[in-house]
Amino acid sequence: MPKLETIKTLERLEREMGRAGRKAEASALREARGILARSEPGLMTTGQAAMLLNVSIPTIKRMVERGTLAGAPVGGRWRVSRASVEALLRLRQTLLEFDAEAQPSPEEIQTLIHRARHSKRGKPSRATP
Amino acid sequence: MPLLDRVVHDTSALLGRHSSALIAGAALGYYSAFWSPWVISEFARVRTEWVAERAARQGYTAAEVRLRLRESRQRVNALVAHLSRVFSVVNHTDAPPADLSWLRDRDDWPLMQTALAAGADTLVTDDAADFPLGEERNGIFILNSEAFLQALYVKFPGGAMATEEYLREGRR
Repeated sequence: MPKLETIKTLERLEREMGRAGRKAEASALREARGILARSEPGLMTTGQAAMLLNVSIPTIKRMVERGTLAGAPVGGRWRVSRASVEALLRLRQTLLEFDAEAQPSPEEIQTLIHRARHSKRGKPSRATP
Repeated sequence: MPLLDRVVHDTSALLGRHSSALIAGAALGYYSAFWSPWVISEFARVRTEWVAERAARQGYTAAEVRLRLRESRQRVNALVAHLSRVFSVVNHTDAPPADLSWLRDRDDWPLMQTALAAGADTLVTDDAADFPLGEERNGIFILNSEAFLQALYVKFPGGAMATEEYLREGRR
């Protein structure tokens, strides 16, 4: 199963071949990339990703730009890594489990952090000088 | 006004009632979030301690408290693992030199150093006792969770709705 990076590399090589005037190689790379992109179970369209995450397509593109989703334009169309979408679905599930477990009150947070940060035994680490 | 582009969250914000919205905001690409091993360690420790103390207060037996503690640790570890895709890690020890004498307690320095190491424009903390909320220090705006989210949703008018939709879908 090719990685998204592999498809992007093929696209880059195709451009280089095109610039070098090697039309046959560029054409072969384009064909290979098209086959991989179409059959790649690890990729999905922005619309599919948007539907799964329940967000808009522009949001998906922003997420790709920020790097919270792995994706890139492939053959002129955006493709998103299925694994990265599934990771954000798992994150969402975990956040909801946290919410279900309830949150400490502001007073409890203050006390716990104060104890962790300011007690001799409780520091996570020391400040650098 | 802060750019709200590179943001560090304190444990107090990550544990509070706005934590899901804050994390979802980063996941949806509204800003880049950073934390450090120091923040991760404190977050994990404080969250699990709270779960254990709450279970003890509620009268659970020692065995039940241990079970809840174990479950909580697993949940925290899962969240930290999932957040690795959303939060970038920096080391507070890599922070450039800065005058942090305005902080009353040196034990708060690693948080500010995390923000400095991340090149953050905003630090989100609900610790009003130790941090001057609404003010700028060392080139970093310090906001509480609520003020941060309000400012974020002004910058991204669709942000509140998108965050709500993202989280709501998981509840169905």
